[in-house]
Amino acid sequence: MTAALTRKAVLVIGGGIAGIQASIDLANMGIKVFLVEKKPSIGGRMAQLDKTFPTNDCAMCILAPKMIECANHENIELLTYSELDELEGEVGGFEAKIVRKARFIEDDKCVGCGDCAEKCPTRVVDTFNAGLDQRKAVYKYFPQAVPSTYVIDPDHCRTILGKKCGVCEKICKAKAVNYSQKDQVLTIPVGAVILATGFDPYDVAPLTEYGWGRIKNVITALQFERMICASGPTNGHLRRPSDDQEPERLAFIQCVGSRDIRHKRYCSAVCCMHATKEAMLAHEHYPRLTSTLFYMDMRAVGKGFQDYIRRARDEYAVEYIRARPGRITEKEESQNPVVRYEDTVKREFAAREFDMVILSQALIPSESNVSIAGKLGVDLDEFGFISAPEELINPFGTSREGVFGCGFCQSPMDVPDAVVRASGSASKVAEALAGVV
Amino acid sequence: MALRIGVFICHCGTNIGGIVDVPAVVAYARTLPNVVCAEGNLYTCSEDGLSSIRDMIKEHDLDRVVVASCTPRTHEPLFKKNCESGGLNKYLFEFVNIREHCSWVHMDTHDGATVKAKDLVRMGVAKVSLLTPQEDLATDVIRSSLVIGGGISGLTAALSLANQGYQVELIEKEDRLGGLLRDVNRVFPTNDLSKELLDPLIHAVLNHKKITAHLGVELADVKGFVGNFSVSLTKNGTAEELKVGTIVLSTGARELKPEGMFGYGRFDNVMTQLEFERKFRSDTHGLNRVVMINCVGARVEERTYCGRFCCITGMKNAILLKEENPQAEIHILHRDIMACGKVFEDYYRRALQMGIKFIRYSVDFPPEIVGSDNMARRVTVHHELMGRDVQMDVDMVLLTTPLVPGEDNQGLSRMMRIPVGNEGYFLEAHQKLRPVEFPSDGIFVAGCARYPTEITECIAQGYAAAAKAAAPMAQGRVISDAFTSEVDPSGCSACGRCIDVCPFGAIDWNEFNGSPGETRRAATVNATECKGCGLCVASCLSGALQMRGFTDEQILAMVNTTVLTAAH
Amino acid sequence: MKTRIEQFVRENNLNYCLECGKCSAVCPMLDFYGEYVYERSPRGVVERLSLTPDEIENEEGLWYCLACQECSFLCPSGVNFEGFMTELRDLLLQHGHKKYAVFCQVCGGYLMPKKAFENFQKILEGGKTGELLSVCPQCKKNHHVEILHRLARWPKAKQ
Repeated sequence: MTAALTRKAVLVIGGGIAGIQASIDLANMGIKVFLVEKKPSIGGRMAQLDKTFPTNDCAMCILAPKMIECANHENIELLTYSELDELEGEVGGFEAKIVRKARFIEDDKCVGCGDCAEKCPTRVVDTFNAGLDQRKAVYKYFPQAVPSTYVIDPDHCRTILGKKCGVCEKICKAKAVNYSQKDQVLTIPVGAVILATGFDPYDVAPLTEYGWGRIKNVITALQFERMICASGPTNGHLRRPSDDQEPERLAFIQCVGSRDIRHKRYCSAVCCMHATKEAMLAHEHYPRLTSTLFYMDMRAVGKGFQDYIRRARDEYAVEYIRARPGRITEKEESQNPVVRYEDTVKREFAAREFDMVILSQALIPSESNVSIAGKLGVDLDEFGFISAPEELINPFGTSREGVFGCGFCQSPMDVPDAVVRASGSASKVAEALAGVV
Repeated sequence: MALRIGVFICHCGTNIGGIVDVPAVVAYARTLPNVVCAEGNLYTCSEDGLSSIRDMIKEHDLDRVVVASCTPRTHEPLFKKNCESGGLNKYLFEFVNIREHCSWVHMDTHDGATVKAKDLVRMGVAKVSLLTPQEDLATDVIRSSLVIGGGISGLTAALSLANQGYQVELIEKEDRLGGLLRDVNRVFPTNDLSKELLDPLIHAVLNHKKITAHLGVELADVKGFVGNFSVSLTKNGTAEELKVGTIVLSTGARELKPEGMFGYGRFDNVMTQLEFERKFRSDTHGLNRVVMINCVGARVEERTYCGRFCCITGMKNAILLKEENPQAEIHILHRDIMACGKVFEDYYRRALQMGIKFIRYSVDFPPEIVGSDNMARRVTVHHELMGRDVQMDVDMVLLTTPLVPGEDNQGLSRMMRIPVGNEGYFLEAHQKLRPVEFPSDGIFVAGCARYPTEITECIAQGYAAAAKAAAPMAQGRVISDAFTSEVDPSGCSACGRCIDVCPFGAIDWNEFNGSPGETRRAATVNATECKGCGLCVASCLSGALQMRGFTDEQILAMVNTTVLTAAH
Repeated sequence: MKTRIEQFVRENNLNYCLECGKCSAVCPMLDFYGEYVYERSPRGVVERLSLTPDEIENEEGLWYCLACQECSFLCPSGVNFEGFMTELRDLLLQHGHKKYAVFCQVCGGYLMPKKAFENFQKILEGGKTGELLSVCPQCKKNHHVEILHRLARWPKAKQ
């Protein structure tokens, strides 16, 4: 590639749906894109979802073609399992230093067959499955990962830790395992940068009144999402963590950490809808199952959202109660969670037993924002979101010229809004680079 | 001359090889008609496997290739491209899915899986024999965009496209730019004057050398397809023609006028939020007791959707009133406060802090208004959470109404062959991942034409639509897949069903010269617009439509070989 | 009085109340009094007084809160209900509205709501140890300090 071409290149940081969309749009505008993702695969949070509101489309079924389009695009270079180290220069002439972490698997040889992981003796908590099960020390990030190559987790691999093993190297027919692989540093000239670092779920353990981590049958919405997903750890079967039984009565609690000045003051924007979706999916799987959703304001503001809530109530046995529960306790024998709440419309107190409780945890900016913002020299707001100084008229701008933001890393938003922001930021970049040859 | 078919069967590590007896399938493939070579690969997709296909094409002079492996979803483009670099037309390739359709679903029955893999390979060979070489279609793209509607979304899209170097034709039916936002007093959450936002934007658009603003024009017709649209405009009776490559639709929406609701039209001091903003831009003097009623005409049986930002509009006017007159008593009657996201919850808290009172009511017990002498005097509402009625004397009642779809939406929908959803707003190609696109290529949507959208989102969508509209122009050419449908005009009965069902507007009427002297109309497919979905083929009663790459003949060959031949 | 109440409402963040009911769900009222009554619950009081901060002299519902602060700790909006109640009751007492309150038998200072007092008495075995309740902590302290002083003086006196 020529120097002239690369100056008109763009660095996109974050390979979730926003980063993927921004990359595809830029690439379609004839601009070279380097898409950096710290995880071994692109896909981001959307890859963890089972289905999506309000159409109940399977998330992976609509995301996978995008991932593949992104990976196969001639103008996009995927740099997965990589992180930004430094950015120097200014708009139209940045130099980005990228660290490609060692996968310990040669990605041009690995064909993703999975023999290594089958034989690997070491088990590690699987964060992709929200900690609900375990993966191996050599693993594929998720079954539909792009690229589909495996990666060895150096913190747990016996061989890399100096213990006797070497099983994966022996079993790999493609001869792709390379325990001595080193991190690589790439220097890439780019004209602009787009940040799309997405979100993390908020740790709900400090909300001790709801008992997450103490009461077994209280889980988070993301954990539930993995559980109800056919490619998740339970193959889509709902199972109570305490006794593996099928639950029949679910409670969803909204605003756990959101709209709470003790935690996050803002509204996380998507929870009313995703909790409703999860309740619908559960009922679809088990027609006997009923759900109760505790909310303050049912924020169903997008296209088709109100009709979705109606459908949930009328056809999917979802009961909506306007209440912010005070406490969850556990019944000793059954280990059933008991939700104590005041129904604010009926003005009655109740302590109601459920089989399982799902907490709609607040969503917070990705923890990597702090270090990335430091390296890029862009400002974060008080919550850690990438701040847009002129948010109203320029929703993509940051405090540094030539660096743009899009998606959840700026503010809580749902997938369509993030996709809009991603495409929009591509336009902004194209404008910024219009003069650059 | 006999065909020369090569068959490549993948073990996919143990994914296929661990269940299906791949060597047996390879041996079987060699016995099939016209198969001149067959081989198994540990991984057909690895560089080893791919180069082997290219070598075999040369060595055996192959004119057809079949790969039986994992899934076409990820790998078909790879193998097609590989055939092309091996010197074979990429449309002479057939994919057989023996992992997802076979080994993965028959893990417990190895023998049965092997039989099924043989069947699938035989079907693939039967089909590939009937494939014909095809060429991708390429059309040049006119480097100019049409932006329909000069509101905030359209202005943003026009300016961004122009700044990217493209010619823009911006059309607006009114004599001024600015759209609905012109009527807005101040904008949330900054509470700046809307003109401070709008004026510089309009100035920039009117002075940009790449933008031609056509004001006071009507859109008469749009013809053509991505890359090459012909647009007819009329202005005061004179017609004008434009040629553009892509189109951004940003026609906006209207405020609902709540005729007959809550004393609207009966009392002089009952008005909508927007009417209030127009009337009381500078002077709200003497308004000490104001009640706002939210969800007027929204989230009700006849209009189920939520207006998305009306809660915030009400809050904004309440905050402005309270800032001007801290003693004012302002009550907002609502059904849920929609303050999604990072900024609006703080805006809500600001309103609360200022002492603006929010009272939740139920749709089953709407507020009641009594008045005298054309003036509303008192509002009574059932406070849903306190369980009792609350009465408020009022100087003014503001009704917070949602936006409703533009009057021209149905007409535009027919003219441009783009869909409108149940609520009357334009319906995007995919709600989740293609929010500013239409099923037809080259036409995009931004702002309130799609759904009620607040200013920042309108701006974001304007930019997003600009990115989509720029892409074909940046590429200069539109390449489309050769697998499209085609009409045999002699068999066409001109019933028009295919035209009705086509979601992309790719089929139209054409003159057809049948028997000598007879000219009649017949359907014709514009291959550039066709996406190869096959709906038209299924709808055709006379069998005049066929899908390239999936012709009746090819499909029937697969069916016949399954039914008539036993693999074992 | 109305202005003072409005001031308390403002200063204790009652305006920020989102009427979510979390306070009422954690309030020990139900366990303590054996029943849940909306008008006596934190949410009921906050809603009532934010909307119409007047005519509260005969409002019995204001005299149930035990000032335990549980609601203040857990309120997601930062409403300091306990602080508000303390100030409000002071105000009512200053204006002579004493019928729902109990006072220290020694100093006559405000002790606790009458309902709470009766309930405590019931719990503490029908008034046997319940007598302990009727003296305010400060007077109890004074009483014990006095005993200590007496004890301290006692050996001297013996000599």
